Amino acid sequence: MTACPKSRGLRIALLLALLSCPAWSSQSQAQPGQLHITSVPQGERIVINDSPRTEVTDVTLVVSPGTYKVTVGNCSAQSVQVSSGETKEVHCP
Amino acid sequence: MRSPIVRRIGFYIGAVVFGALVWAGEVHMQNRPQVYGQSISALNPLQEKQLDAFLDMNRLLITLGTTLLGAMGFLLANRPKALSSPRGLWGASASALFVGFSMYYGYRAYEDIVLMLQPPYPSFDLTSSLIAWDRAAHFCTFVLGAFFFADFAFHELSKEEGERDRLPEVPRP
Repeated sequence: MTACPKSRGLRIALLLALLSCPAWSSQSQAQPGQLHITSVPQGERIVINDSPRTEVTDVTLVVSPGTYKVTVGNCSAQSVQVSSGETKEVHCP
Repeated sequence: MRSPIVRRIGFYIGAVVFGALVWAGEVHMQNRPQVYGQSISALNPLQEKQLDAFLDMNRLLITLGTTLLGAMGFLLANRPKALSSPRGLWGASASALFVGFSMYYGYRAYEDIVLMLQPPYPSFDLTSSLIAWDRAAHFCTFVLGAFFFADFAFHELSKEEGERDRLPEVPRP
């Protein structure tokens, strides 16, 4: 005995409904923090987690909570932990 | 051969596992460190135009996705039962699935914009990793949905045409 096409379509609709529940429940994101990156002189290039940024110093970037490896110009990389709602300073040199 | 009840239970278990995997993926994507963009106090005129263009495209894709689902429902409801085939239904199912994902990612992209512009740390960067994935997925899944819909519609309509050609002509009085 095989399932009729209509019931198969109904199952697919149920699958979509099931998928949407966890997806929508994961929408609440934590409040971001900030990275205030400065240098002397200004205009140094910024690399965050090995990805080069288009912005140059001095700049304030909005970031999600987490740990970042920040490299400014020729200075060595700094590891910075940013919490929700917090602003962290990164300066070079 | 497995009984319909076993198959049905298997389907629901599969659906729940799939839902859990999607949920885990979402949590992983959200919890990874990501840069939203440069902190701003207000949008400049160029950013306002960018935002308008993005929102227009977002609305257009969601409208097209909804229309595509409606057209598929119409085709499914009005096709002759004798011409039903599993292959056609697979095309329709794949199309519905991808269009469903497209609408979901469209909503997520909208949520990302809301999150970016939210005080106390508003920012705006449509190329940031926060929104780039959702924007790309929104468009690509819609294209896949449209492709499977075209396949389904072509398959169904050509089958119907062939069936009509095979019918004997009624002699005119």
